Amino acid sequence: MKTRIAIGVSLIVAALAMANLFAGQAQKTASQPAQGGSQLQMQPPKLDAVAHLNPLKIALLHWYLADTSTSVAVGSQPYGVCFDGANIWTANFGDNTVTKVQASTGQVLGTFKVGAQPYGVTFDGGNIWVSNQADGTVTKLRASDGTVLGTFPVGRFPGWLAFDGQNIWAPNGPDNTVSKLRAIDGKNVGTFAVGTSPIAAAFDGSAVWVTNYLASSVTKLRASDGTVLGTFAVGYGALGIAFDGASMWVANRNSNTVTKLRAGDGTVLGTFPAPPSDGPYGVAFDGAYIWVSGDSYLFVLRASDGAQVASHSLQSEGVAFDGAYVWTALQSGNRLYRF
Amino acid sequence: MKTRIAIGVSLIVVVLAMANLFAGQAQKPINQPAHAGPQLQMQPPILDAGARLNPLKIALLHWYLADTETLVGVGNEPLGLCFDGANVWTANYNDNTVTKVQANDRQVLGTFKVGTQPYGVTFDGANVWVSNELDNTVTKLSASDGKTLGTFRTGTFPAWMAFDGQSLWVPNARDNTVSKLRTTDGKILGTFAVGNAPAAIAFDGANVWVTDDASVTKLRASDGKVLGTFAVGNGALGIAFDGANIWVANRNSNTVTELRASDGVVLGTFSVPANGPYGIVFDGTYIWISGDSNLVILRASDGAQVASRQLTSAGVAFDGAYVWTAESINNRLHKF
Repeated sequence: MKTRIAIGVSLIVAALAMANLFAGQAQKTASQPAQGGSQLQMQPPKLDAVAHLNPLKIALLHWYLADTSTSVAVGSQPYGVCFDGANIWTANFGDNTVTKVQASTGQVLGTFKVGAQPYGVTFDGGNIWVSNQADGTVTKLRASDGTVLGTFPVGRFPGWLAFDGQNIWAPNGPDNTVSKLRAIDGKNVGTFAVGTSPIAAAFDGSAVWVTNYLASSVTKLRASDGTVLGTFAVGYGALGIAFDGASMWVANRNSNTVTKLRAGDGTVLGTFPAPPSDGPYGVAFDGAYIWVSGDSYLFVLRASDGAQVASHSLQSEGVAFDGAYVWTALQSGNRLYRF
Repeated sequence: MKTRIAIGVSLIVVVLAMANLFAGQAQKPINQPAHAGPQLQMQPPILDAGARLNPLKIALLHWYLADTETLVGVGNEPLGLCFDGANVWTANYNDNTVTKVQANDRQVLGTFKVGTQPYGVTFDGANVWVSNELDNTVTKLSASDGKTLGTFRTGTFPAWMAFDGQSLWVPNARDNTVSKLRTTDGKILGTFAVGNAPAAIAFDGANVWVTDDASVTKLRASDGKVLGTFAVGNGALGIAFDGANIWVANRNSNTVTELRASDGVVLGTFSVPANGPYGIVFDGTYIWISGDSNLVILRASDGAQVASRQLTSAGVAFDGAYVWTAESINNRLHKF
């Protein structure tokens, strides 16, 4: 929230952004776990139509989409989450740490100091990269033990990062650029202009996609050299972004929609409504469904056609899939939830 | 590499094999990490067409085939590799140890003493088996803690093994046989004649396939009966099964042969720019081939080459999301 204020104030659409924030604040109360009421009723579990294609879901008898309400306490204001093959990591914006949680058990394995206002976390196959918004840096930690291996400058207010197999891409909000850092040593190998207020990035196997929060667009850059391959209009307040193997999914925080674009050419394949008065934030793909967090709901769309198959009353931000379960960060509750 | 010398010397193809080895040696300097230059430029990442069928790749956002620079130092001259469900094991040929590396974060969890010149490693569901070339033995270690549970005699120069669900199959390179050992107690259940200088084995669910210097022999796993011998390239070494077909790295022909597992019909022979292809592994979509000069990736569906990178490496293994290969000359593993 603080981030969004900081960026919003510096821009013309501040009023819009602020309105959205206050709406978010108002809903916060209703999302406390202690609250009862109809909004918090869990939906009955639903068959996960493609669990039979996922050996880990089969092994865990995880055949359902359901509100399993497993949660774990982490640091203050967790935003971004990522998976490292065994553990979930979250960036605790409010206390300048990251927490490592064993995915299979929910056990907290460690809490590690990083820079100021950590927002995003990304795994590169061996290390965790954290964007420190107030410092304009990223921190590289060894995933095995949390040792800080380096802190490297990027632009201002780095958002949610992406790894392309070799490099880390950091969207620099107020700079309207994205920085490309070589993962092996953190060296900056390029800074590329994108749209207004870039906030999150995703990789599709050959191109990097960046959401431009205040331009209501996404920019597609060739990962090898940063060439801009296209800029595509999406909804207002484009924020979280995820790849499903063929399409990009973008959470439009201020339009209350989700846009699906064909990764090959950026064609919009569909725009799907979020539940009323939501404000979609993060997006993750679990092999069959698109999970979207937001100010009021965590909702689930079928990737094949965008149909909404489930929703949970929950205010959360970052979302990540661990191979069998989906995790989301409740910055207002200092917890991660696992579905 | 030494293995190939040892086997090569005992064989007619010695000249060919040695020439191949020297080529490999000559390339050593350009693979040092300090060197830059166009040969070491990485290929741009490309979309992994099979990633969307693999939940672990989806969870890790591992959508790409790319040259990652994630490395881990292991023992001296790692050659064989295997995966135990969570860790990658490597046989360090030159210091008589095996190293256990946690796959997701590359943490070294232990280094364990085994026999002399360990070459292959194979997982049986609970234990890791190591072939000790100079001792003519295999060592059985508990995968959980690396404790040695036994050392068992095989034939001469045991090489890359396979597990068939109950038994361990060991190629005895200098005896032209394979031994079948019961994994519970290491007892030899049978020794079966195969071709010249058997080097590696793969299991297809019912049969074991053994590479030798110019062919593969298919034996029924239940009783060791030879079901066929099929010509491939020269110096057949690494072998892998993709669920339907058998893939063989032909070290001296610079080719890869694909055979239909049901009847041994050759479905294709693919030229690879890997000077001396060595190890081979299937990742669910692609066939990865190590060698003296390049790591090459072929699409399993049609054998088309989709990527390659300059690297001298030997054993290869897949951990569910990433492919690992042993860079013997630099005592480290690469994770792609």
